[in-house]
Amino acid sequence: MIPSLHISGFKLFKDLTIPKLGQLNLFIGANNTGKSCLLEAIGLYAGRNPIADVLQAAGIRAQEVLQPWEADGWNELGTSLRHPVFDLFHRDGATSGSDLSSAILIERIGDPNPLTVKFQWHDMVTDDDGMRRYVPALPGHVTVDHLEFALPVFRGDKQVALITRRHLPLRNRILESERLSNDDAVVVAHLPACGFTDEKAASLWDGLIQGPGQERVLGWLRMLDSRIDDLDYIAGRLRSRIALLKVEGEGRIPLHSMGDGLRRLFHIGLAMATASKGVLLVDEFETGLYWEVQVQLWRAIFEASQKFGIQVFATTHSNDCIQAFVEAQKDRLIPNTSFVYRLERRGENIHAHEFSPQGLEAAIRQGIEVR
Amino acid sequence: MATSPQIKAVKADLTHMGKKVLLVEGPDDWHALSHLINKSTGTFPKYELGYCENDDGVLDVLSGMTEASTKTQAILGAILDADQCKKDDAGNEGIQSRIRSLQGRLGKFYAIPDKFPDDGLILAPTQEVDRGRLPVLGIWLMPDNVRDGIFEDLLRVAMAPESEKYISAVVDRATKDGMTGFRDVERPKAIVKTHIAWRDPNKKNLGEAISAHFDNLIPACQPFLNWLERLFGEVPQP
Repeated sequence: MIPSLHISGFKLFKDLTIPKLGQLNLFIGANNTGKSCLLEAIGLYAGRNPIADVLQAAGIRAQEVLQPWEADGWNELGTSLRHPVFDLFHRDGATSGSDLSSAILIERIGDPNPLTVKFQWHDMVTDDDGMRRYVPALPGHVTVDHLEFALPVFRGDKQVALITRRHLPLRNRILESERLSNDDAVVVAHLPACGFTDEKAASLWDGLIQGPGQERVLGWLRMLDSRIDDLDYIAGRLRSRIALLKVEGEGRIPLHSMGDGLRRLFHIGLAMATASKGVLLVDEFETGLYWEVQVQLWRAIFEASQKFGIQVFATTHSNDCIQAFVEAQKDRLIPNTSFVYRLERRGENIHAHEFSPQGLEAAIRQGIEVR
Repeated sequence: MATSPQIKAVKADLTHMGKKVLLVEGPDDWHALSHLINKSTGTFPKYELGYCENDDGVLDVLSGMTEASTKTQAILGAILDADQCKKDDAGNEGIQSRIRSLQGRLGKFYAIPDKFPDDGLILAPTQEVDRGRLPVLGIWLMPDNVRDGIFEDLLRVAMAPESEKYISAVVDRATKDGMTGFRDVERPKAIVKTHIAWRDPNKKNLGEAISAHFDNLIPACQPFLNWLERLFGEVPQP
């Protein structure tokens, strides 16, 4: 379990410390206070695939990173470089790429192996045997003609991945295999605000075919409709697959015709079933869900997260969701197992404000705006 | 312009209230305070007055505000009775129990002292980081921040001394003879309301009666009014 978190240099976070984290953690905050970034950082820190996580956080698809990067129209180093990876770094950091020391740091407090993502300019050199390769450029010695960048990822002192572009595919692949050396890495299920793609949901469902996973997912769906008996995927048009629910008294009904709430529950159920002994990240938890369902759902998540050893991190915009979380928390208020934080802007920095359960309950009782 | 009994007391709603708010325990206190402040300043206060059902409500609003609020007041005052709370787990009663509960609820953000200054408490948030978010906090424990008691204890001081002495004796005798049904902590209320009933049986509103029948009102309340002045920056006109 991640007991605390310190993030610096990542996206909106110049320097953010969250001193205590529990089994369940809810983050609220205004727009642009970094709720989604926080989930990305946690995924990157906890997960097994730093390359995919970094690329996802940068909003880059795997195939895009391999495309040639044309930094057209720039004359002076760093003035108009707009590759998406620059957005990974806090604005004080490598916005121009000219600051070679800029780095992303994600760690728990007292972490012996913090995760760092550095930004390096690479320069092309030709070996004695005529092979060309890229090596990290020395500050002030960047050759503009052969300029390339790379993002080495470290756990502690050990480099576990190198995110590069097409010029270094081989080296990239070698280092990618070393990522498995991170013993602390766990399964991370990251449910975005818009839900999983149908393709992703289908593959997660397939992955649960062994064992009681699928039945557990059906349990989540039955919170909304107790008549749900089973779920099957059938082949649809254009290689897509369609989820069909078997509903008592109604036969088979496509999941997508049964409303956003059921789809959201399906995805939460899939993510929970996938994330055993791992980390579940849910962005904008409330999407498609009514208040009563949210209380029931949080109660079930409190229970299942304990039972299956899942550490849950969720964000929300919704008062209903906060109230539902607090309501569910009341039933099983064990100190230091669940936390609610509000991310707030304080000048350049984002600050995490911790609510005490009693204070948050009092605020909700008194109708005080907490978001 | 005096407030009239038709004016409805305003329930505290920090999310929608202005930058300066004074919280009281209930609608009665709301009316009484409105009249007292109006009488002392000759005008309506420049801060908003809101009531919170009871003393727990005031504590709830205070702790909810400090813990949770995003946008809060610049100045927040609260008036609490020192004597209306139960014995706490540590065996504290009266004002000590009240101070302990305030420390428990607000101690994370404000350095609530073990002993209140007799001219009322005014505190900025303890930590620099909370200063933009949280208000300057003022707390007055009725009657005088030192004794156990309630708002009506302050009004007893505002009664003509001979009247207060006489009515107290009558109330005590009625109690002794088994003619009363109030609890001990409500004795000051019985005295004050008897005083009002004898002066003007038709006055139903404590606020109106305060303006009319408490001869020493302003001098008796001066330390309290001074606290309001220091807290909200208003100048009461005695």
